[in-house]
Amino acid sequence: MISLIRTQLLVSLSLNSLLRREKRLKTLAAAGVLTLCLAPSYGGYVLMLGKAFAFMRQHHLPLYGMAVTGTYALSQLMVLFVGLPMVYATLYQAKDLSILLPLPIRPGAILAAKLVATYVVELLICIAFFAPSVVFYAVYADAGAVAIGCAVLSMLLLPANPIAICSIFSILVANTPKIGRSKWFWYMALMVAMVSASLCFTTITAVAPRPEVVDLLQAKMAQLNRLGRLIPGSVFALRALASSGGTAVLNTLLSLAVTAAYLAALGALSHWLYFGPVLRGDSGTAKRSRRAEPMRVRSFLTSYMRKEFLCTVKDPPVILNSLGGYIAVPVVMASYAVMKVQTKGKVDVIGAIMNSLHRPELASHLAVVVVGLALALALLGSATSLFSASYSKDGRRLWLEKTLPVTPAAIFLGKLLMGMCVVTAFNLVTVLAVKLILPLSPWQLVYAFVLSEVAVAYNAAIGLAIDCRRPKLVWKDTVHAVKQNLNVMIAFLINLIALGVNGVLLWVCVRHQLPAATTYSAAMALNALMLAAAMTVGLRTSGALDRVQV
Amino acid sequence: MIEISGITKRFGATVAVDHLDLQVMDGEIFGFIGPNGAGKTTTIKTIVGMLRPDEGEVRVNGIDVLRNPIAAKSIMAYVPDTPDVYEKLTGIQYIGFVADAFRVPADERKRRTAELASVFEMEGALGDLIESYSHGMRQKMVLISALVHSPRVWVLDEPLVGLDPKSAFALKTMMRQHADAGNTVFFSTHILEVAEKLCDRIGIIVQGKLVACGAVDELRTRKDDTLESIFMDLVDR
Repeated sequence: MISLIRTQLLVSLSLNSLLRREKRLKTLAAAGVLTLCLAPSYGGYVLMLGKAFAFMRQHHLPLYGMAVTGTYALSQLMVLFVGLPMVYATLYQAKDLSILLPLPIRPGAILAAKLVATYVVELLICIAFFAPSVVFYAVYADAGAVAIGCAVLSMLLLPANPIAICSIFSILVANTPKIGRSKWFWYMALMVAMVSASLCFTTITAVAPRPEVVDLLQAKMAQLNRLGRLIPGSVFALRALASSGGTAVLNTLLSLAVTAAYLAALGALSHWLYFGPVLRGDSGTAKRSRRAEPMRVRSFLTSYMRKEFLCTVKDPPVILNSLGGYIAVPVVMASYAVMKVQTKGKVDVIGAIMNSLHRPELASHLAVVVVGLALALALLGSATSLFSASYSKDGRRLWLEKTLPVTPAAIFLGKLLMGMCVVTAFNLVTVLAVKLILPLSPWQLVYAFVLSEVAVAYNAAIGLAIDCRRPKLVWKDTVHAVKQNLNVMIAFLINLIALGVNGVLLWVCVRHQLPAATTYSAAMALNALMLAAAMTVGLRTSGALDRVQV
Repeated sequence: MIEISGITKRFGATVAVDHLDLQVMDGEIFGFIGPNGAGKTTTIKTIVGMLRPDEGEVRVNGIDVLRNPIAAKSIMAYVPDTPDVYEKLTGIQYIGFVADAFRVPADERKRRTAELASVFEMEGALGDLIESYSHGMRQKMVLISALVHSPRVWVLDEPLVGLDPKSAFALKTMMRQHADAGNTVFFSTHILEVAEKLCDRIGIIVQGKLVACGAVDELRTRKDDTLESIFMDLVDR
C-alpha cells in the first residue's frame, strides 16, 4: 500500500523531477519563480487577515469565530473548485487501472492511493489559505488548547469532504451514457464551475462605497459562512470552529462521522460504478460503426487546413485554451453585470466604462480610439495558443508531415490560414459586439477589423515560427502541449512588444496632434510592414521542421 | 532502389549510425535486423527524409533524399515503428488527407482504399474516429494510408507489430508481390523467422555498424546455421 501511494505521488506530482539531480535545479528554479509571482497577492491576503483580527481585538468585537469559519469555508470552496478537474484526471485520465487491477491489491486501496496525491495537493492549498487564520485566531483571540486543536484537526481533514464530493460527482457523471466521457462535456462543466466560482468571489469582494468596517466584516464573513454551508455536512466543522470546550469536541466528532460517511459512500459507489464497469468489461462495449463519408480530392493546402481544423475543434483543451481571451471577456462582463444587480446598482463597472467611452473629449481623438480598439482586438487574438503551440500539439504525429511530399512552407501556411479562419470568426463577432457599445461609423469598424486582422496575422506568424523551431512534441495529453509550453509564453511576450511599438506610434500621434488620416495610415503602414517581416521570417523558419526530431 | 553511402548520425556523444553503406536493389525484399538501440530506426528515418545525417547521402531510385526530398518522398511509403496518427480524424479522413498530399486522383484513391481496406478488413471501421481504434487497427490504418498512392519503394519499420495473423500474412504476401514486380521493400523486424523466410537479403546492424549483409545462405558459416544462430553469434561477438 505504501509503495502504491509512493508510486501515485511520484507519477501524479512528477516528484521524480525533484529526486533526480539533473532536473532538480530546473524544477526548483521554476518553483522559485512561481513563488515570487504569487508572493505579493498571498502576502496581501495574510496581511489583510492579520489586520482584520487585530481590528477585532482592538475594538473588542466578538467576531473571531466567524472569521475562522469564514476562511474555513473559503478554503473548502477552493478545494472543491480546484479538486474537480484533479479528481476527474486522477480517476479517468490516468488510464492506469489496467496496470493496477491485476496486482494483488484491494480495489479500495487502489482508489485511496489514487486520491492521496490529490489530497496532498489540496491540503497544501488548505494550509495556505486556512493556516494563517488559525495562527491569528490563536494569537489574537486567546483561544484555548482545545479550540486550537480542533481547528488544526479541521484543517488537516478539510480536503476530505470536498474530494469525496468531487469523486462521487465524477463517478456518477462518468457513468452517465453519452456525456460521461465526453471531453467537451467536462470542459464545459469545468468552465461553468469556474464562472460560478468567479461570480461567488465577485460577490464576496464587491464592496459598496464607504461601508462601516464592522458591518463589512460581519457581512462578508456571513456570506462566506453561507457559501461554506452549501457543502453538505460542513456545518459541524463550522460549529466546531466557532465554539470551544465540549461543544467544539462534540462537533469535531460529528464532523469526523460525516467524513467517514462520505468515504463509505464513495467506497460503495466506486465498487459499483468505478471498478465495476472495468471488471465487467462494460467500458469496452461494442461501438456502432459509422458509414465512411465519400472521399473528395482537395488541394494539399485545403486538405491540411481541414485536418488542422478537425484536430483542433475536436480537442476541447486545445480550442478552449486557444480562445481563452475571447471567452474571458464575456465572462468578466457577465460577472460585472451580476455585481451590479447584487449591489443594487452601487457598483457599476460597465456603466463607468461606458461613460468614459462617451466622454466628449474622446471625440477629438477618435482615430486613436479606433486604432486602440484594433490593437485591443489584436491582443485578444494574439493571446491564443492556436499558433504558438500548433506544431507542439501534433506531438509524435509530426512524423507524417515530415514524410509527406510537401514543403515545410506549405505546412506553415496551412497552419497559419486555418488559425486565422478561427480567429477571424471570433474577431468578427467581437467587432459586432463593440458596435453595440461604441459610437463608431461602419467605416471605422471595418478599419479596426482589418487592422486587427493584420496585427493578429503577424502575431500568428511569429508564434508559428517560434513553435516550429522548438516544438514540444513529448506529452501525454494535448493540454500539456498547449498549457505547459514555453513557446506560448515567448510568443505572447514578443507579441506584446509588437503591440507596444504600436502604442508608441499612437503616443506620437497624440503628442503631435496629427490628423486622423495620418494616424490611420501610419498605423496600417506600420502593421503591414510588420506582417511582411513576420511572414518572411516565418516562411524561412518553417524549414526548421526538417531538423526537428520526432 | 535505395543507395546509402557512408551515412553517420550522432546524437550528442552517441553515434547512432556509423558510416553505413548499403544498397537495396529493385525487385528485392531487404530485411534490416539488430538489437534494440542498434540504429535501425535512425537509418530508416534517414532514408525517408525524417532525419538529416551528419555525413553521407541517401538516394532512392536515383533521387537524392537530402537535395530533393519532395521528389524522393513522393515515391516512397513509410510506416513508422509506432502508429501515432491523428486520433481526432476518422479513418477515411486520414487516408483522404494523405492521398491529397500525394495528389492521388479520385478514382485511384477510391480503388486503392477499397482494395487495401478489404485486405486488412477495415471496411467497416473507416467511418469511425481513429481514437476508437485498437493498436492493430491503427497499424492497419497507417499501412493503408502509406500504400494508397501506390509507392514504388516501401520503407517499413517493424510493420508486423500488432497485426493479426491474417493481416500479417496479407502484408507479407503484398511485400513479396511488390518486390516481384520489380520494386523495392526495405523493412526492419525483430521476428527472425519472418526475415529468414521472406527476405532476399538481410542486413544486421549492431551499435550503428553494418556487421553482416547478404542472403541468409551467404551469411551461413555452418550448414545447420539458422538466422537466429547467425544473429546471436554476431551480436555477442
